[in-house]
Amino acid sequence: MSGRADSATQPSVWAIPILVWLALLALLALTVCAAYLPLHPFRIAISLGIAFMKAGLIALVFMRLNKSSTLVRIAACAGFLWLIFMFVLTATDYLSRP
Amino acid sequence: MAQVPADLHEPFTSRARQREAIVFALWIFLASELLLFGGLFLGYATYRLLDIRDFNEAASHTNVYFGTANTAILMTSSLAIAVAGRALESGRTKPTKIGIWLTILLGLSFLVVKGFEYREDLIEHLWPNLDFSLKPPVARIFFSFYWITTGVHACHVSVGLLLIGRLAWMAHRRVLPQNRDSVEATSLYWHLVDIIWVILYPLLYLVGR
Repeated sequence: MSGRADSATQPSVWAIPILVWLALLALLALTVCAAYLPLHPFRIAISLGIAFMKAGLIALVFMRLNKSSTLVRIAACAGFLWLIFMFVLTATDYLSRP
Repeated sequence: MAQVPADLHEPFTSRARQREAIVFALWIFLASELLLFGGLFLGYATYRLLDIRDFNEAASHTNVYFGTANTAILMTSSLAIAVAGRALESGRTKPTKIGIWLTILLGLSFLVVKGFEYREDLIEHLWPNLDFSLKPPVARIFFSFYWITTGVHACHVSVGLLLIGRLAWMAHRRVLPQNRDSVEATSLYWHLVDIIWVILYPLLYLVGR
């Protein structure tokens, strides 16, 4: 590659991705431990909450939504928005049955 | 007239616009993928309400060791391809190549672990046919979701591996710097495959513990 400074002076390409990876592994360890605790009614909520945190980290940092343009962020949120509609409208039926 | 940069392709007139168009298109595609798996997740959620206890009991028959190992493997592969993309953008080809090959290796490891897990599931008669080993009716439904979601996901991993294999081929031919947007697009797809697995993991492996 031409005209680049040597690697010692460049910002590390590893630092932030490795920090996120460590956080992901820590969350994985946490969710495995939580799955064996007697937290019965909240267990699935906790494990899904941790899963969404992991997904958020991957989307924001690995997929660079934190540095994306507004257009790209809207496109990313669109799928999620329709997913919420689908779940909420289904839940209004199934969760309200006697 | 200035020379056209090697990484600028038809019909774009600037690199920034080219990158924006590719990333935008990819996210629209990823949103459709999210809705594909979202339908499966919704089916899972509604059928689970039929009988939560039996559904969770069926989930206790999945192998949490294989599931957890595969989650760690896939998250590490996401790290590898994220580093590959960032290294390419800062002009370093060696970490890029290492990242790409590591991703391929980890993706293949994921499929191998999944293969061992499927083998164990079949030995335990967890395929919902006449020999199915669990009694409750919703256990059959849980394992239908298990096979469909992990199967569709494994197809996505396989497609991702082919696409990353293409990047390795480009790196071999030394044309990767001219195709840096391909690296970004492929890694976005790979990360989404990782996200889908991260959501599947508690639903299939943790609810029954």
